Amino acid sequence: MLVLGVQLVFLVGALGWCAGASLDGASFARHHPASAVLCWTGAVLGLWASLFGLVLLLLFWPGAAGHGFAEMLSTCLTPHSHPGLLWGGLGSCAIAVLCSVRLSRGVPRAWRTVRSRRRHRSMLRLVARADDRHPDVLLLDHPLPVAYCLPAGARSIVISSGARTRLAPAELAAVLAHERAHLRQRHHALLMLLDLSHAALPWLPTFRRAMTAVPLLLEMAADDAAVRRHGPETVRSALENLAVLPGPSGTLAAAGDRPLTRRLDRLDAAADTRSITRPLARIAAVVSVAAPLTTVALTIASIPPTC
Amino acid sequence: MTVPPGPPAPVMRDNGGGGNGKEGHVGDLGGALERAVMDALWAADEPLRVREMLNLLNATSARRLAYNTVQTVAERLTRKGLLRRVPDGQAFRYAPTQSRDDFTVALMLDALTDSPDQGAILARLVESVPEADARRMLDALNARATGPEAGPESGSGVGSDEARG
Repeated sequence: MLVLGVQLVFLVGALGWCAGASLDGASFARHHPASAVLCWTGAVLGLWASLFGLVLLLLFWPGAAGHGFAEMLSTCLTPHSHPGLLWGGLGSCAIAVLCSVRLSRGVPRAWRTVRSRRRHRSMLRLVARADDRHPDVLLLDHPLPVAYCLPAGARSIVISSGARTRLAPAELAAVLAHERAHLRQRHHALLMLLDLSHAALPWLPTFRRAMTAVPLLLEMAADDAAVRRHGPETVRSALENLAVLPGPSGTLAAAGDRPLTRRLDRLDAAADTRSITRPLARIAAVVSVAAPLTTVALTIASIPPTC
Repeated sequence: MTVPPGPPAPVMRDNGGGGNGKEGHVGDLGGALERAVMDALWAADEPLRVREMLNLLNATSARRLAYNTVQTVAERLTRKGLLRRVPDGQAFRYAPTQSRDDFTVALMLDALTDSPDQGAILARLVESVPEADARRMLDALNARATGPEAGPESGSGVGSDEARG
């Protein structure tokens, strides 16, 4: 069990500190945003798994801070007391309380996100019209050129009539492809996971860096999806003519000036055709999730059967 | 398509046909009714009584609505802050709290609140529209900043609404 403990601490250190730092500065992210997003997802999920394993170990490992949690549970029914058990029990309770306090910070956040999405949709229902040309699009009558997407619901993409008149048909198609890529690749869910992770443990560098780096990468990944279908020039002119808004609360962020410039620059640059990056990123993501999960499984397996 | 205060009837049918079967039957019906009431009031020049709304709605809709239904919907919209009541003798008149355009702008701003660089997006938006629209947008932003939500304005990053970090 000592080996497992060291392994978990190592994993938390590697995923919580090193992974964030190396992914944040990585140059391949610019050319392969989707692969970079995959790596970030792997790091975040793996980090959660190793943290879970670490807490489990602390609670059940005799000799660790939460000494005798299982014993305390099994003996508190019998009239048998021992000072060591008491301290162990108190330690375990402290760990349990600490964990639930950290985790409970995320709950109101998630709830608020869901509620504000619902409120936005009910407001949308009062003024938006169904677009008869696209089954997944709602139209807002307003000259501001705007497009955004709202997960859940039948019509999840919102565009304004201003956007429709201002964009050429090919550009509009590119914008729709961009928004559909967001929805198809579940970017909202990933952002929500990041948001909750950051709310729970704001001091972990990987979570903190992911909060700032990933939104832009998601936009770039969606741009790439649009480029594959409609070409870089079309996507470029569409982005210049339109404000692609993030969705309401807790959803897609990053458009605006500086990020937009970076997105446009990227579209101008010649596509990087090194194909080795994508398989490598996949392997890295799988490893960063699988290693903690294996360790956690081993930890659970080595918990003494007395509890 | 481009007429801002659309006539109530086609819009209502549009919603009923377009969003049907996906949002659930009752919810969709409620949404369609709320929408029809809002459309009627947005199209009217003055606050309307429930009876007047009812006549307007029944003149264009295939299905006859009951007085109580319209009153309930108007009350619900008032609770949501979309309508305000004006006392008129024994009864009330209802009027929208915002024009249709202002409501739409507020909706689009709501989609923007969470952006880490909403100031930049706003700047782009303001550049991209005629001056009158830009001015209206700024008014909506002002109302938002001084309103009950006290939403963050441009430049303040994520702001109090999010309290990120």
